[in-house]
Amino acid sequence: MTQFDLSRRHLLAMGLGGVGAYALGSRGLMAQQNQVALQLSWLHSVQFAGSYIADERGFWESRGLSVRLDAGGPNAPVEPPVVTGTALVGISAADYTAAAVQQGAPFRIIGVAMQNNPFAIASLPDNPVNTPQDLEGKRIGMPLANMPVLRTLATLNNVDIDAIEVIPTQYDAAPLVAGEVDCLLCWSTDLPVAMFVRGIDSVTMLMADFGYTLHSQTYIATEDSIANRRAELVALMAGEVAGWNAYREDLDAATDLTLARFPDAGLDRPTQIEQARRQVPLMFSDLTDAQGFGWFTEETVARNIETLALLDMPVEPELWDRSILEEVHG
Amino acid sequence: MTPALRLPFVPEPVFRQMAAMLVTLALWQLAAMGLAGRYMLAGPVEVVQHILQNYGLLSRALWVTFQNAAWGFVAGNLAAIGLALIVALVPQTRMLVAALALVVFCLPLVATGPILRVLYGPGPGPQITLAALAVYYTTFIPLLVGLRAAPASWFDLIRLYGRGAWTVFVQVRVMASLPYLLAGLQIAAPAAFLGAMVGEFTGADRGIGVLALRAMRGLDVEATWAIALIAAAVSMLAYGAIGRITRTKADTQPEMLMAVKPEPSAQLVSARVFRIVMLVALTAALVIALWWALMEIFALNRFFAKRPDDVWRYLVTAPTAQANRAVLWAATSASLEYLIPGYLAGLALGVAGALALTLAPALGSGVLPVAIALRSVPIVTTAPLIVLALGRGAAGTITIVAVMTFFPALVACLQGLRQTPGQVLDVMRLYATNPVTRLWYAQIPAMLPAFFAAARLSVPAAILAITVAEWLATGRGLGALMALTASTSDYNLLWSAIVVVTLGACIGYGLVSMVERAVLVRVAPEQLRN
Amino acid sequence: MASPAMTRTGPEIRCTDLAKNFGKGATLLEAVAPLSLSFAAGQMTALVGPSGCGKSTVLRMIAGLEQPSAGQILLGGQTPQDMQRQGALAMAFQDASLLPWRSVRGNVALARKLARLPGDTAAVEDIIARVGLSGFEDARPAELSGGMRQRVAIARCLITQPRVLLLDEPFGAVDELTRARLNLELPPLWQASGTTALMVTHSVREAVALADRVLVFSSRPARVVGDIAIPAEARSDTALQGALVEQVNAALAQGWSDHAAHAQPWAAQ
Repeated sequence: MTQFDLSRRHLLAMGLGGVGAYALGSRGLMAQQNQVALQLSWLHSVQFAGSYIADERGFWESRGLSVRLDAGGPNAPVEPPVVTGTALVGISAADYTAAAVQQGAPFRIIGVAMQNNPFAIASLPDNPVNTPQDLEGKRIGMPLANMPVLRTLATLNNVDIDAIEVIPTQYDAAPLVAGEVDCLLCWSTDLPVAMFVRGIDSVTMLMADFGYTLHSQTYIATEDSIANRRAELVALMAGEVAGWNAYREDLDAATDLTLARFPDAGLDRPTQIEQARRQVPLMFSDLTDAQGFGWFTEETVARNIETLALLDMPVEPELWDRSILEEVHG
Repeated sequence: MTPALRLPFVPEPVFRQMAAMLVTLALWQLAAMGLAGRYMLAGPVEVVQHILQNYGLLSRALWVTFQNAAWGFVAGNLAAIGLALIVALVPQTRMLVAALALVVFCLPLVATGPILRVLYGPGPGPQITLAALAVYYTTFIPLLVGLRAAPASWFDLIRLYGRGAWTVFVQVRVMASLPYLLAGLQIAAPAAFLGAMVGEFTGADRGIGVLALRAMRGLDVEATWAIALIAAAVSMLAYGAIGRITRTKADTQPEMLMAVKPEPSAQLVSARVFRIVMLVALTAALVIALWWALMEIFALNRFFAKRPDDVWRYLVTAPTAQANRAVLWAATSASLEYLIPGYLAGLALGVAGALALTLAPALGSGVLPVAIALRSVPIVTTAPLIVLALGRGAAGTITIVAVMTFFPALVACLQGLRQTPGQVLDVMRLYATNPVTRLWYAQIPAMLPAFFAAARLSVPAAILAITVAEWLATGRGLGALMALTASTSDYNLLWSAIVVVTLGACIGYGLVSMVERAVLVRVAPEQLRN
Repeated sequence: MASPAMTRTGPEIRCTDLAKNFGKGATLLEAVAPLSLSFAAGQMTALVGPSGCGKSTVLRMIAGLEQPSAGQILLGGQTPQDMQRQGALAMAFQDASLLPWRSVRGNVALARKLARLPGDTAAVEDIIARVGLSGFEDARPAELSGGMRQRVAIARCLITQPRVLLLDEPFGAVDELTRARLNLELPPLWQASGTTALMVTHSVREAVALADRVLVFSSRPARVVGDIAIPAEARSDTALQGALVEQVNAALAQGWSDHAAHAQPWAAQ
């Protein structure tokens, strides 16, 4: 994005009129340059390193595509920019996508970056949670918004949810370290990594190992895009696949690239390399080894639908659309 | 380091201050050492180390956030001046413009942030807009006062030569309101920084807010404290710098900043009630019309840009309406449970502090400047610190709200106490009246208008504090409910929550205004006349 | 160089059945009950009377700053608004009402601008000198004493060469010694040049010393209870001045006892 663009936006931002003018302006600009955007689900980090590789090594450019990577954040929604067309593809999760579809968004999941769900229960070794049964009688720290997740885990494993004391926490491992809670509901790639880097041993129980089967970091696009912008979608996903394959081959290079690309994001190498390592088993499996990155099958979809049903989000298998990936890998 | 204690307006006894500072730093370091391993508190040594090691990173992030804050500051204040111009030139619009401005000011940042992000797409748009939204009201209100803050004879002078409202405006109002504008700008400067930081939470590549999030999630206590101190220092410096400009440029200091004297009221109570009802109805109609019209004009997608009728359906006519209302009500009462005690405690402590400092002035040499400075510390940085220290339960949340209301109340009350006419105090001294009696009969009545002004403005501020705390730390209440939308796409719920929060803030503001009027009628009726 | 005349010849002022009410319904305040007054062209009239009797309101209605509730005001056949538009009015207030962000020069020059007169630096300097403020042209009001500020206010009145000069207790806020000095130094600037001047004052002595005629009002609602011509020779005859002061005081006392008589039936109710 050019400097001119930045200053123009500043000027426009001053009036309410600027709101709409900018929204229209950016869309117009994008169409002109045949540029598309990928809406990420969180702040820039090694979590999206495959995309950075795709960009830096020209995996998109060689397919005639220029992809802008829009950062997410704790207060940054993924689904609306995809609905409005600001972003061609968004990185969502099966449950988020299902919820958005319930609200009327015309989404399809066109690829799955995380085959295994990253949700985990983190605890300390002297008071560990190794299985869901260990949760009974423990205090768990988590955002109240994740109650359905915990309830689903409890149902899947015959755990009495009323025996778990939920303490609302958010974005922070401090309550566990300080002893305010016995365990945390978090991603295996964030708070446990933060503790690891600080030299705090922790026990991580991956929920995917206990029946919580739910695709995460799913690529979503609108039905309209799938029908009318296939070439761009295929090019984008092909770049992603190539990028993530390169990522797997050299985690150090992927981490260094991330750090070099975002010097101002406050990233540190120990955290990033550890996170890079820990997300590998979530993203790559026998299935992807056989079929390629991002793949899903009727069977994995069916298991996702079961979990979603427990989360009170009934969906049809048609929510998943493999046609783009088939073109990419075919 | 704590630049907080070394600002340009530090008073004379430098030596004593230095000693106090050293003691503070030592205590702080000791506390940090005592709490090591609990990831709560980083000592000054660690904080300085962190800043030195990450000097480049922090200064680049600061520069980004500062720029966005500066643009927002300019935009928001221009908007405030524009609104004030409308009111000055068409005085009939005064109440309506003020009511609309209040409604917009009460919009919850937690919810407006993501909506702005969707509207703008990537870039600094939301940061700048949130900064602008955070500042315009605190400039607009003093300007409203300032534009009328001139003796009647100045207006007579202009009319005597057959000149109209425009000449009055150019020759009298503009200059007469200048000190008020500058005072408003001073309060606006730190608020702009806060707005820009919250804007970064909606998805930004860089900035102090991004680093703050990263530090919080990464158990990086040194970074959390370093960022909080930097944000505090920048906010206080911005406040101090504009204060300095004010002192050199303005001939006079405004006496009462935020206390808008109400319009001379119709004498009959029923007529007044009727006027208020009309105003509320008109404001509500206008807000709904604007809401609708803007969405239609910009053809915003109905998936996230819910119209008033969507909210109405969600809350009233839909089959699930009752369940929807129950969800909202549960969250609202969870928030209120901490909001009300925190708000009242903050106000009470502010008053108590001001009174204590008046009774024992030796105690407070220099407290006012420090309190003024602390008032500008952004809540998004203090909230995590307080939660680190006090936990996520009632104590932590109530404290966050109380801190948000305490400093404005303390500053306003101290300034109000100074408004006591010197001659009245002389008369009391003449009779060797004891200090408590002096306080009761002379100083407290003089303080009340300023106190109520702070109490009114603290309503939206307290709501901002609790929603931010719920969103970033405690995960309960309306703040968490609004943040939840990011995962559920339940934008009907989000817009309904916006309506509830905004309505609640306006109602709270109105309730405080009613108490204010009732009290001032008894103790300071001159404040209610024109 | 001869100084230009400070004022222009003034008109006769005629008020017919003038009344002014404030508020309405239960809170109606009859500030001025129907009152007919006339002031000769080129004369200076002092209005004296108890506080709140409505004399300032009369002055402000003549200035066009208040609309009469009833009756008519004509200044040489023109309405106050006509006079305003011609820049023919000037008024001094009890506090000097200077704009604090303008210098002495700026405050004086502003009146010419407001009256749509071309800027005239020499005239501004001249009038500042004549009110005795040479050397203070660039001072801000905050740097001046109360008396000096009133001098600026008078200079601001005179810079437009007004046809009607309205003085609303212009020296009421300064100390007795300063007041005496201002009384000696300033009125000659407009006296003898034919302007019609009205002055509201609380000082009977000042009224007798400066005016050609003293109009004495009763308490509200005001009635004229004394109309005393001040002969020119009174200016130099202190004994005569003393007698006239007594005469005005007697009229004031009469107004008070009338008021008491009026008040009786009301109090009995």
